[in-house]
Amino acid sequence: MKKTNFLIYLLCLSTLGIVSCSDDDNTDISPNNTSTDTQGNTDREEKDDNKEDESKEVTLEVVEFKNLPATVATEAERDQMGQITKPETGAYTKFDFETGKITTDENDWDIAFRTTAIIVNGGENTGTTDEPDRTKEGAIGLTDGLFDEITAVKDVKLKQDSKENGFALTQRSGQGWYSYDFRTNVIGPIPGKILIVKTSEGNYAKVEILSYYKDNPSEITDDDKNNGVRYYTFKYSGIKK
Amino acid sequence: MSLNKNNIFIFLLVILHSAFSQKMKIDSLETTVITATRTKRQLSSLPLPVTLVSKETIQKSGSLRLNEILEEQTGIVTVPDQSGFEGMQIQGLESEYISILIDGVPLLRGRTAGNFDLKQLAVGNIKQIEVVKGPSSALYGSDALGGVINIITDIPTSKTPKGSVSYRNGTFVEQDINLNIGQRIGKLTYSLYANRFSSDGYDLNRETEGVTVTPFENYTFGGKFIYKFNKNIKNTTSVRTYTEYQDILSSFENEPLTGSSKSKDYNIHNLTVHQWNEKFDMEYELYFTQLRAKERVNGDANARALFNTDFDNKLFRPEIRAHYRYSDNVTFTLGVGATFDYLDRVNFSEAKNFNSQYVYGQADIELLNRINFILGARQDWHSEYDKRFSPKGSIRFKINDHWALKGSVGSAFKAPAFRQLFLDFTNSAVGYTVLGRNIALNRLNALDDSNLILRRTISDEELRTPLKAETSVAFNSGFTYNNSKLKAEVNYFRNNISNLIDTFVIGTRTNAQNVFSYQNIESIRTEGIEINFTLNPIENLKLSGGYQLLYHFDNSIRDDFDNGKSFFARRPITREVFKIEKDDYFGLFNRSKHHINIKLFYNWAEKNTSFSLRTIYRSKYGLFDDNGNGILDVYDGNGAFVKGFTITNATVTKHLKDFLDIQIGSNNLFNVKNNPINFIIGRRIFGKITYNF
Repeated sequence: MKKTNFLIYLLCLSTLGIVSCSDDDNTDISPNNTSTDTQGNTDREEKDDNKEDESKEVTLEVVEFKNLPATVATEAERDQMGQITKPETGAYTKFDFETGKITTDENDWDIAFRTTAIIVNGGENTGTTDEPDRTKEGAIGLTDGLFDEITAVKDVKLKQDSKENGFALTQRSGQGWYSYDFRTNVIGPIPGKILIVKTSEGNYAKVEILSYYKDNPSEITDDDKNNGVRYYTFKYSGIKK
Repeated sequence: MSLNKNNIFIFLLVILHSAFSQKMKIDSLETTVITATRTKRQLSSLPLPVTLVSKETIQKSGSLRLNEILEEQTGIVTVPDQSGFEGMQIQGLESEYISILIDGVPLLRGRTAGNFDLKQLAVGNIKQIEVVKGPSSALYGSDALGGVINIITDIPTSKTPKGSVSYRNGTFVEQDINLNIGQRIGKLTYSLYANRFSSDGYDLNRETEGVTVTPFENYTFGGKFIYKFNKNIKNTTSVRTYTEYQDILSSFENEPLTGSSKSKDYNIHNLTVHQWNEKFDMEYELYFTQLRAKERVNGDANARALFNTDFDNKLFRPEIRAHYRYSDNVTFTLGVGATFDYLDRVNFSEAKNFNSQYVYGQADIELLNRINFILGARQDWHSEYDKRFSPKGSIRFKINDHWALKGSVGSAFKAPAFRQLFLDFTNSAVGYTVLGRNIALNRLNALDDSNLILRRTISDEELRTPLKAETSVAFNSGFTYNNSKLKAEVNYFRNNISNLIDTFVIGTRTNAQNVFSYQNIESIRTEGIEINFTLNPIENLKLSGGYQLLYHFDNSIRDDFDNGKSFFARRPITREVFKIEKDDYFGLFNRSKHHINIKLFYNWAEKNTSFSLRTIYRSKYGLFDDNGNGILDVYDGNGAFVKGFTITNATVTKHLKDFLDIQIGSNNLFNVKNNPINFIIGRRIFGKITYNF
């Protein structure tokens, strides 16, 4: 009895995306769908107004991006033993730091999201379904620190996705950007984990994931778990090399 | 139980002692213990921290199983660990580090990752429970790193058959039937014991699937036969069996799972004591024990076996001990023995054997009627890991008739368990693999050859280094005070355990799951103060109590703080991320800082009625690293901690006639529960009737 519970717990650990979001409604992730797009702060909107001129830089302001959808088209299927028989499908949501927007451009994107996976526009396809091709030399790394105190990449090791080693930023609970709580089925960003991104244009950005649930709720309710999961809120800012 | 009977009991105890214990001076009527030195010693004269629980206390408390009576003792905590396995702690060290003995020989632990389920031990036939706290490897070898719990079974003294039959029923249809009979016929003394314990189970959390404890029943049978060949040679043969049946009811991906588990444990213990002369005696001991468990779980739909667990562990241990009493003040003990340990279980590629040999010696020296030294050491040789030397020294200094100082320092160890060396387990549902250290490299290579390994995260060289035993250095010191009405004791303890064994990742499978093995990693420390007192302010009233203050931490995490490594947490409402301070580190999981017990026993002589009221408090403890920063800290959410709680147990026993006792009682009288995580069983009420003959 006890042992069985333990095994189920271990199973949960490995199947995070599924366990916590069975009622997902396969939201359309087109960037033109403004209802899921950001309501960034006013600073940012001002910048947006003349972004044409500055699109080659990542803003040095701290920008909070809300509700980036990281949903799937079809959920993974599992057999009775819990083993995946059919993997999940659906486009990754691509994001470009220089414009501060979600994009569908095949080349001009920096990182892309689907469930808890974050991929980078650098390296090669890892082999998951519907992955966008890597066309640039972007890279990603993870460091510990306070967002405000990180001003340069310094010695943070940046990596690219690869077929051999998988995602450059691990998707595992407790080892990458988030930890999964098997008691509450909540995915929470680990405090002090800062992503460092080398963009496709060769700029650098620091990123802190704030929430995996729609509208960044302070308490995650059952409704959030069922209907609001897989929406990233994160803040970012450009940094020096 | 009446006072009368107690007096008789104590009187008989004394007779018994004078009959065959000439090893140490027994000056008074005072209780003796055997576990601390392997010789009979007065409890109050020992230089080590020892807790003794008498038969009278067990009966007046209405305890049925070992966990119930132990959790009312100072500094002994029984609670499930994070995985839900039953656990126990002494001085903050888990049951993995505590040796559990019956009449001096060890019990097997079963499958639960080193934990020992104390509930499987019935306490209906025991004379006393002796708990030695602190490192005891110098006498007992591996696993006695944190202490020893020795259950001493009763020896009959009556010339006519005497015994008791009792029946108890209570909440959750928890039923207990107990039968005891014993007699001394000339040179032969026998005692027989039978117990059946069953329950319909209970559920602590209705929101989750399944129930906390499913219905079970278990049976314990025991027999003890003592034959005195002559004045100098005595043989004792004890046999014990324990059988447990439990339903399994759970669910998996919304499919109901049903099944059953059966476990059977038996031991045979043969001890011959040969008193060569007044100064010299020898003990020849043979001990065999086996534990077999089977578990079957079927998915309901197609009755396909999902989890099958077979487990078969055997242990054979011959030992010879000699005691030489050089003078009234100096006694030497020498022991030599061997252990043959065998384990065959599911997820082992083949049955495995451990063989070990050991020798130990001890000198017990008293100087000037004031100072008692005990110096001991043990050497263990083992087939699978390095040899271990475990020394220990203790001293007691008697200041006057009331005050004494005590101190001891010792080193102890825990050998790697079978599973840590030989497990070969792949979880079929998830796909991760756990490999014992000794087979890890070969199995990893084999998986690699089958193209199942994506990458390795450790060098072959490193994986070839054998796993070391976990070792500790521990220190105890304190003082005792006693007068006719008050006994009090204060003890400071400190245990430092190095080479703690834990799992780590050695590679990644092509299915993206990890391959784990075991390694020696961190070191931990538990440190604290224990205070105990017993007060007899008036006749028939006994008030006792205890307090344990415990500090506990992982040394490497404290070092990380000192070396400037940062740990981060999130503020509760603003969710702002910030650096936490060293003092915010809460320490090890599942440990409380404060642990208090108060016990009141009153005997109302005119009415032949006795009352007992026992209260235990345990302060807040942490179970989960909620915020994922890798350590348990005060900013982990409310869901990560169990709040402090107080549990009160009460029992009333009425001695109706000479032959009849009636008892009613309640565990968790005030129905205390804990939120949000509840591990506390609500109020239980029971009634018991005992017929003595």
